Amino acid sequence: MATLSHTQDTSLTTSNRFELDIPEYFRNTVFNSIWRVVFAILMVAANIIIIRATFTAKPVGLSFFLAPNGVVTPLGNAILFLTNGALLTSIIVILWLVGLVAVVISAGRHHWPGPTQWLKDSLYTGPFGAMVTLAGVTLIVFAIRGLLSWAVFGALFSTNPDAVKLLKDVTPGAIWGVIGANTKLFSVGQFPSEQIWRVWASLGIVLLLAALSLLAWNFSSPLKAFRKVLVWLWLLSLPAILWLLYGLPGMETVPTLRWGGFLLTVVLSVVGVVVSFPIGLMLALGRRSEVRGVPYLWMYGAGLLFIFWGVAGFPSEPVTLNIPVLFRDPPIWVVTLSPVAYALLQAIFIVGIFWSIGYFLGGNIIKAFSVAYIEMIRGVPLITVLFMAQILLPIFLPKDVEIDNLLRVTVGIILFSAAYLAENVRGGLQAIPKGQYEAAMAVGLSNAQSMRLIILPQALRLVIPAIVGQFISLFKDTSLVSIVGLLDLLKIAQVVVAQPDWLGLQRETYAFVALVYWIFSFAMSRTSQRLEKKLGVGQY
Amino acid sequence: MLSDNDIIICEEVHKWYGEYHALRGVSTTVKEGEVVVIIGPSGSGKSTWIRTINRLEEHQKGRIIVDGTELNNDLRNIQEIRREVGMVFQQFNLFPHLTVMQNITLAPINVRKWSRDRAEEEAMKQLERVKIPEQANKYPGQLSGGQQQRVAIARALAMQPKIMLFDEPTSALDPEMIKEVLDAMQELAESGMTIMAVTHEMGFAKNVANRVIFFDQGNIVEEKPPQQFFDNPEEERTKLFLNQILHH
Repeated sequence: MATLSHTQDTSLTTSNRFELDIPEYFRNTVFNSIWRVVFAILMVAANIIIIRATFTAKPVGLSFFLAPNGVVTPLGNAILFLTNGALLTSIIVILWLVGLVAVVISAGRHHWPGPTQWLKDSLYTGPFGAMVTLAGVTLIVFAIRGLLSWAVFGALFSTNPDAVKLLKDVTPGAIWGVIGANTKLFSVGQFPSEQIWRVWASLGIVLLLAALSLLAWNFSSPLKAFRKVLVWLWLLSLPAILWLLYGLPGMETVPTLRWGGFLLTVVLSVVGVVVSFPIGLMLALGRRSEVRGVPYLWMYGAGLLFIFWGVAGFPSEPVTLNIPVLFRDPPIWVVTLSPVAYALLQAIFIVGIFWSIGYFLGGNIIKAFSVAYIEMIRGVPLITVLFMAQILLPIFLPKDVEIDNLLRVTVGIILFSAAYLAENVRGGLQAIPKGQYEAAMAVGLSNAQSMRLIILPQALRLVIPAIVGQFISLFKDTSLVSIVGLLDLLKIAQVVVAQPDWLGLQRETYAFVALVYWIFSFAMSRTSQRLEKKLGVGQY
Repeated sequence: MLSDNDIIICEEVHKWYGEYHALRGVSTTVKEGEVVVIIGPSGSGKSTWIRTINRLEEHQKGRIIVDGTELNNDLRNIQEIRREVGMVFQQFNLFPHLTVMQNITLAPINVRKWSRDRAEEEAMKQLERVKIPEQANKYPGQLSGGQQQRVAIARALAMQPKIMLFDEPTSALDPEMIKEVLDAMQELAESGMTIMAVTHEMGFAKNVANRVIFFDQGNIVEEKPPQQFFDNPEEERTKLFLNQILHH
């Protein structure tokens, strides 16, 4: 045991660069690569610049501690002194030197008391490492100091526009009043103030369901039977909340045009996620389907769809088509079609397109449709889909039918998200071994049962990270709706910085919006990790 | 030739994988309560054949009649037959996201439409039969290979099938676990169940089977009671195969 620790000791000391053989040590550490030399020089230069700059810079003002008359309070003075650049730099350099000396002395004595071993291994691995440590610590400390003095110590928190106007020029940091004075705009946009209770009620429903779910899933035995009910309640709560926000019968309606801010962002992403999920699932299953021909159920579905479309899109009077024909004078063939014939022609045309794609894919119409849909949507950016929903959709619809702007955009987001979701789910389906399908069939389960009970529960668990990733990006992508005229969180930020009272406060506003997006994305990511852990326990 | 208690009838069964002719006119019948062991070199098509009997593989020519129902493209027939035919796989194929109990009760509840209580009672009976009732609430991943295969047997039995198919049930097991699975199979055979088993366990074939079928190149080469089969094989190919596996 003693010999072992002795050999370890020698190996440590030989690798230690603070031995006094200076030429050897430069050869080994610094000059063995020209890039290291360049990098070390840059580091030293950066340090010099930072130190010089902080010694000459003006101290940061502290309007956080400004008395109402504009005079700095004693507390303010104390913080001012402590965050003084020169003082901070001196402290960093002295601490750095103390560490350095401790490591060098320990190396000389071949004895590493206290944290010196750790210091040598992590902060002072050599002159190069020591230099990086100095630069790194300096940068981190000054970044934190800059951030704190801008966001907290030098910031002005008053939401009173008059007070802000007075102190604006002497305030060195952020003016957070722009956020505080506009909380309503940021959270619900132009939702009528006297109807805000509906938003609170919706929030209440969500919190209540969340609390019940926590209870039902954590105290399993008595509340287990309640879980199924809760899942249904969650599913029902979404349309219920949307209806409540819009206005139940007998209540004043709040047009979707007035929904905005964070509320709109949440509505868009939640509806997008929830509705695109079943569609994506169907598309994923469809892409893997091996059914040849068209199943009757789909035929009936398509038939109903065309009847509906025929009724909705029926031209009210005969349609005249001018078909160009060669060798005819004039070279045009004028055909007048009755409304029924016209609608039929359209239907035949559309069925024919799918049929011919299906023909090339071995007669598998469902797969043909799924592949065509997924690849078409994945081939275009979201913003294109949104523009299509905005501009092209009305062209396809009868003139007097007008669809709500928000609904159109939501449909666009759902269609877009479904295609990506389908591909994620397909990845999970492909990861399930063939034996699972066979075992499910062998015990007599029908196709639908084996999907629902055996394949999907396993496949979906596999793709939780991918699906949550997609939902996070969808949550952030909803900011694109600002381009087609909806007032989501990002668009509200643009509106706010244009207010006369808060003109030009982009930095504060966008920092706030970014923080909101980050908090929610991060929360979702953490939740997914916990979900994965919970679902994966004791299995496999 | 056909009698009332023929429960599986194969007539000239053919199967192709693209150009490859996997089954070449297999014909035989299995009586109720009979234990048939199928042996043969790998790639001979014996697994493919046994899998056509519950339609995990589709045959393209010939007829397969199981328990009076012919297997064809009619989905209802296929479902009906699968309900009466239990299958045990080489790789166990337990459902990893369900507990042992849930694995076993899934099909009785969803296919036979039994109540949960009845299904669980039956499941415990079958688990006791394969001697692992104490594992009911574990997940498959927490069991040994031999235990998993016995759960798979219990899962198939819980549907109360008339026929059990075994597709190399011991080939993926460590040697010390083979016996526990063979014991369970032997107990099943003695209870009067109709069994078709593809296996390399010659001891099982000798002691338990009523008939041994030697399968090669997509067809039956020879079929006989085990005593005659092992002592006086007629065909050259059978002799060669037995020589290779019995004397090494």
